[in-house]
Order: sequence, then structure tokens, then C-alpha cells
Amino acid sequence: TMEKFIKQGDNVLVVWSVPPTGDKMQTMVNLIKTKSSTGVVQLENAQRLKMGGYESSNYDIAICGLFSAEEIYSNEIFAEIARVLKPQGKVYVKNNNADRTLPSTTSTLKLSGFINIMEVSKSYLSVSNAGLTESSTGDAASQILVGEKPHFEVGSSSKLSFAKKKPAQEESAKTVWNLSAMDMNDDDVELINDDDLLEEEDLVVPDATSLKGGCGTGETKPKKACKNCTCGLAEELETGKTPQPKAATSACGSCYLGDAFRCASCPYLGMPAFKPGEKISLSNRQLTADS
Amino acid sequence: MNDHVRHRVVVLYGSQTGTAEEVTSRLLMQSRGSVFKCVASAMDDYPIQDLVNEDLVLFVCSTTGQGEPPDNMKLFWKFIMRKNLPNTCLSGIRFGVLGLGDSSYAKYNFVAKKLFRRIQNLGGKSLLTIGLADDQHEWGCDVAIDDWSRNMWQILNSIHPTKDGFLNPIESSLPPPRFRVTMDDTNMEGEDIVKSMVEIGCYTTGHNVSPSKKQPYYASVISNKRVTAADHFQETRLISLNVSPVVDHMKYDPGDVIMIQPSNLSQDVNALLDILPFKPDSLLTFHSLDDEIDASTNIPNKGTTLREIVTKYLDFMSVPRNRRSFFQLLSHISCDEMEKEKLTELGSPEGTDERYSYANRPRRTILEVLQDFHLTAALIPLERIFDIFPIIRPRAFSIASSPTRHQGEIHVLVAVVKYKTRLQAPRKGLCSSWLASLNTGDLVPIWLKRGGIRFPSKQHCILIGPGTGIAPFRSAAHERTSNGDSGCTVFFGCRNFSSDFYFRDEWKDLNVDLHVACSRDQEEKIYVQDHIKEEGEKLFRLIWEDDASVFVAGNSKNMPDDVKSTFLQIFQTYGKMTSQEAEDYYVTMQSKKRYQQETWS
Repeated sequence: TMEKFIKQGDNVLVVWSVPPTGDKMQTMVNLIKTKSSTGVVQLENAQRLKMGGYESSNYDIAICGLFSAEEIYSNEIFAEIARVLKPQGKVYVKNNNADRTLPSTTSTLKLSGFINIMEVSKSYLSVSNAGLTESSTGDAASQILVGEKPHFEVGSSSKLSFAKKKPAQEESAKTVWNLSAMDMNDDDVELINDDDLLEEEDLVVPDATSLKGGCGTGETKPKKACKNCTCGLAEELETGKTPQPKAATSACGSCYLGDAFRCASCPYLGMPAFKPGEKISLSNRQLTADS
Repeated sequence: MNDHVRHRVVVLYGSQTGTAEEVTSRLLMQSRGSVFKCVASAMDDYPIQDLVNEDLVLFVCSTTGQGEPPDNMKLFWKFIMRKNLPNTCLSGIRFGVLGLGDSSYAKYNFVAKKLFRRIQNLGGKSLLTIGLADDQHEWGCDVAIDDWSRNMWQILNSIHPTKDGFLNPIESSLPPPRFRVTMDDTNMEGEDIVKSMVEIGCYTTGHNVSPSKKQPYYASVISNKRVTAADHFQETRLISLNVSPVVDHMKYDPGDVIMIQPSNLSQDVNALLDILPFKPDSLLTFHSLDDEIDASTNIPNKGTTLREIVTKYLDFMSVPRNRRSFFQLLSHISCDEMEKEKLTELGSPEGTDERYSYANRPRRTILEVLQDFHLTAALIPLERIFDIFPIIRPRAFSIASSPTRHQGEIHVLVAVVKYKTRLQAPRKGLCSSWLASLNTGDLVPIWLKRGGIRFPSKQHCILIGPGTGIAPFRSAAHERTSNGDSGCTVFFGCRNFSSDFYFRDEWKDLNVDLHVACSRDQEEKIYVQDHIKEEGEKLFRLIWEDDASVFVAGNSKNMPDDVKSTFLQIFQTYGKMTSQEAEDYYVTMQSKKRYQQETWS
């Protein structure tokens, strides 16, 4: 039986969900203690284990599913077991899950972060210990699965320790995240349908008026006069007259500067700043006043 | 600065063309010297197990393609959407999301929206409402980016107020520089520069990995030929690159993409060096002052010259990206009264309209702006080089060659971008202009990327690729003919049979059923969708009975939608479907990878 995997000094956690009859629990504890007299043996109910409070990374071995044919374990319970196991610690599960509509125990173990999940050799199922496993006709066929907790400790230490102690439920939620993260390339993990995430307001498309810059009146922008305006545009603007389009050869004081300093009616708009002594000729396009 | 009292803020980005990455850089710049120590990383480069233990996390992500997450957050996306993640696992984090998108697409900012909801339902607490930046806004994405950034810093300030000795990220004061730069006056000889260039981070044979963005392969040009008629307005070129020395590490399939890291043209480099006050060929060393984690750029920090940096890294031929970092920074540097006043105006919120009119609408380049403000340009300190100039982004091209038929070569079909605005000098595409200028023997930094489309060898393929969209299909047609794979039906569209019918003389030797729509060769316009409609019955049979797949590639916003409508029509006509059934069938085809698209702008 499973006690074959226990070494001297191992801390062992035995998880059960349905209480066994008679003194089977005591017998199991004694059996384990013959293997590891110095280690701790702890029996715990699965639901109570889930409520948390157990220290992390404490046990070398965890054993589940020993006592009854109906024990089926969940993702959360296995995640909690993973948390309390030491790195490289092992969980042994007697797989009583014959219900094909439920996710297989193997996949539940995998989702909870265990690696190297294997079936343990059936020769370990010794007939003489049949009494402990409440064997009945179906028993010889039930497997024992083993899973290993990855050998590096999960979770980073970057967080400041000022944080208050989080409730155990959150700790185990983080554990599931961390263990899942170890298998980034696993393409078999099921994904949610991300289209379901969107709510009504997410599907709203911005309307045309919200896309306008400035006051959005759509009017043509007022022409600006340059700083050293000598062509008269500045006066026109000041007196509120609509600026008249100028003939091409206006002598605005800022024409030789770049576009940043030219007035809106400058015929040299679009050309770089003049170099000293440069002769500028205007193309036909530029000679036609802007309308 | 004692980093222990600074609060860690993790900024995770998902960026396809580099925009989200740049927005992230700006956030980091804003945080310099503040009580917040920002660390940035592409989502897929971040160790995901650490996320549960973070406190403050910001996500900056674009939406690409047809509503998909960018390549450098695909792994993160798949992880965060796992069903088995418990709904309290992220209850320790406070987060914000800034999305970059384009509302002319149906799935506008879907990635950011979905990410926001998912982090919430995993327990994360949102710091502020989601930021949705929209390219369709008259002033582009900047509006929403600036609004969201301001709100975000305000909220972070309320959580951790600024203290003595620290700067406030919101203030418009100049953030401290990232580097201290020293210059060594001994001129480097031309050959030494090439040698050091080659030593610093480029791929060499003997590695066990493939070339990548961090270690590109420098492929030499075999040939660079114009493929459109000399009198045609559009210059398109077919460039062949030599990859035979590394062919085992650069395996590709039809549909895959080549990434090219372009440089600036030397005449533009010289124009910028003319107005900067430095000796271009002196050796520079950059000493990092702030340990911003920005592992994405592989700019050499020593053994390089200003000329090399300006040529290979600084994107000064682009339009200034954001008023706050560009015009404001220059206004602080300026000492000339007139220039300083104008720069301050252009960098202010009130000056947005004028800035847009001055820079964005006419597509004025940073070089041209600096030429206008040449007195200020002459004062730019070396340590500000990377704050003022963005970094040149690599460009993606669908590979046009076939691995079997064109062994040891990779071909790209490049339409040279050139257009006019109200500025006298025409606007040029950086990468296409640089590629067009290359001669045999010139070197091109490249690496490969898996394309979005994959061709099944045993099914008939319907390939729709007008213009340069034909590139991946030319690759597929050659490869499939060589391998004896199933045939394909090709729909190509161009303007004239004699001007821009790409690969015109190759098709007859390939196992394809070709349909060419030359839109301007006759009075009425004919496009690919017209030919698709004509072949409707045959196409329906191929799809319905022979399990054929449909592929659409090209450079047009409307074309993919027009093609899709045509197919929906075909389903209704020949498949006797209702409009809803046709739409459903299209969706099913997409989910089975039987309707694939690779479109670019």
C-alpha cells in the first residue's frame, strides 16, 4: 500500500472526506508511524483543510482517498494540499473517480499545479492489506496516482512585508495562479470565451462629434498674423475685418523664417526657412492666392 | 536617490508597431525623479507568477488585426483567460488600463476593454476608468493618452503624495535626463565603425538561435529591381536578400513575415547633423542615470558615434508624436525669445489646434521642425537625444519568395511611399525609401516572424491579394507548385495590365487559376470583388464541397470588408442561406482557420 512510499522523518498528511468505519484511521496512523517514527502524522478532513490555517511547505507526503470508494477531490483541495507540501513533496491519491462526466483526477491534479503525475505500480496494492482499503470487487482496478509539487518555491519575494496577512482563501487562489504559471506553454488549458467579458457600454462606438478637436464648430480656423507683421494682416484682424487674400508678393517681415513663424497668407508657406543670401522663386502653385 | 522609499509601479505593454511601447516610455519619463519607480516590460516578457504579488500595475495595449492582441502579449492573453484562475487571485493589485485603437474598426479597442474586465473579475481593483485612445479623433490618440495619464498620476499622487526631494509627475517641469554622455574626440575611422557595429548585438552564424530583434541578421542585397512601369506613378520594387549563410536558422513558410530594421538616408542624416552642434564622428559613451528598465532597445551605449545613432536609431523623419515630450522639452531647452515663445505655445493645451495644423496635418517631420527652430536645435544637449527623438521602428513585410524555389533568398515586394501635403517637399516613407536606395551588397538587418496566415497543403486555396497583397500568395503559389500541393485560385487586382501587374510573367508556369482585375484598363472600374462575384458558383462549390480555404491580403481598409460582403452574397445565392446564416457560416470558417486575413495600412 501507500505506506511503502514513506521514509523515516517524513511529515505525512492524510486527507479524508468520508469518515471511515471502525478503527481504520488509527490503524493507518500506526502503520505510517512505523515508517516514520520521528515525523509528524496528521489526519485532516478535506473540507476543514480547505478552510486554511495550515502552514505552507510543511509535509513531505500527502495521502488521499484511502478510506472510502466515494472520495473525489476538487481543484481547491488539491491546491491547498500543494501549498502545505514541501517543494518536491508528493501526493498520493487513490483514484476512486469512475464518473466520466467529471474531470479526471489526473487533470484536476494537473490544474492544481502538480507535475509528473503518474500511476503508481499496481503491485503495491497488496492483497494482505486489503482490509485497509475496504476493497471490494471494484478495488483491484482503482488506481493510485502520484503527483509532485514543483521543486522551486512559488511566489516571488518582491512584495513588501507590510501587507497584512491575507485570508487563506486568497493565499490558495494565488497558489493556483502561481502553479498554473509554471506551465505557460500548455495549450490544453481551457480558456474562457473572452467575448463574454464585454458589457453593453463596451460595445458603444464613439460618435462623430466627440471625435472633433477644439470646439468642433467646423468653421475654418481664423488666419493668424505673424509676430512682426508688416503686411497689414495683424491690423485687419485687430479691427475685426475679414482678411483679404493677398497678392503673392506680400512683404511680411517673417517670410524668411520657417512655417512656424509665417502668417497664414504667406506665399512661402510649405517651404523651409530661407538660408542667408538664398534666392527664392515661387512656383505657379504658390503664386495663386489661397482661397 | 534611495529607491527603497519609491513606490513600484509596473507598466506592462502590448505593442504591435511600437506605439504602445512609446506611450509606455513617455509614462516612464514622466515618473523620473518622482516617488514612483516605474518598471516597464512587454507583457510576454514579464514573469507572470509575480503579478499576484504586485501592488500598482498599469497596462498599455493596442488592438491589432481584427480585434486581436499584439504579438508581444499573446502568451499573457492566453494565460489570463484560463478558466481555472480563481476570481480572487488578483485581489491584491490596483490597476489601470490604457487602450490604443481605431474606432473605424468594429472591434474598437477590444483588447483593452476585455483586459480591463478580466483583471476586474480576477479581483483586481481599478484605479480609474479605462483610457480609450482613438486614431479617428481629429487630434489622434494623444488626446485620450494625455487625459488618462493626467488622471492616473493624480490618483497615484493621492495614494502616495509627492515628498521633499521628489518631483511631481504631473508638473510640466523638465524631467531629469536619462543619461550623462561623454564624448571622446578621437575620430573613429569608417572601417572601425562598421566593425564595432557588427560586434554589437548582431546575429552571427554559430548561434543556436534564430535572428531576432535584439540580434538581427545583416543580409546582403542580391538585387533591387523596379517592377512597375517607369512611367507609372507608383514605384514598386522587388528586393532579393541573401540568407544562404544562415538558411538553416531562417526557415520560413509561405505566409510568414520578414521584419526589416531600416536606417535613414544619408542626405537626411547630413541635414540633421548640420543643425546639431556636435562633431558627428566622435566616440560617445552613455552613462545611465536612472535605471529605467527598457530592455527593448538595443542601442549601443558605447563605442558609437553621433552619426551612427542618427543614421540607425533616431526617427527624425517622423512627425513629432506627443506635444508634452516634444515641444515642451524643446521650449525648456530654447534660449531664443521668439522660438521659445512659439514652442511654449505649440506645447500648451491651448495650442493643440495650432500644433495640429503646423505639424500633424501637413506631416511635418522632426527635422523640418528643428530647421524652423534652428537656434533651439543648436542647443540640444546630447543627454536629451533619446528624449527628443523616438527610435526607428522595424517594419513588417510578407515574404514574397518560396523557400523551395528561391533557396537561400528572401524576397520583399515594396511599394515606395511618397505623397504630397501642403509642404513643398514630398513626404516619404522611411523604410520604403531606404530600401529603394539600396545597391547590391548593401546590408539589411532582418529577422523573421510567423505570419498570421497558414496555407493547408491538401486543400484548395482561394487567394485574394490586390496590389502588394499578392506577395504572400506568390510565395504560396511557387511553393505549392513545387511540392505538388493542391491548387489555388488567385484573384489579383491592379491598375493596368502593363503598369503594375506584379509577377505577370510568372503565373503561367504555376498551378493556379488566375483572375486579374485591371481597374483602369477599360472605362468601367473592375476590382477583385467583381471577379469573385463572377466566379461565385465555382467558389461556393470549392468551399462547400471541397473544403477550400479563403485568404485575403493587402493594403486597404475597405477591401477586406468588400471581399467579405461578396462572399456573404455568394453564400446566400448559391448556398441558399439567409443573411444571418451566411454571417454565421463566415464566422465558423474563421474559427476553423478557413477564412484568414493579413492586411496592413
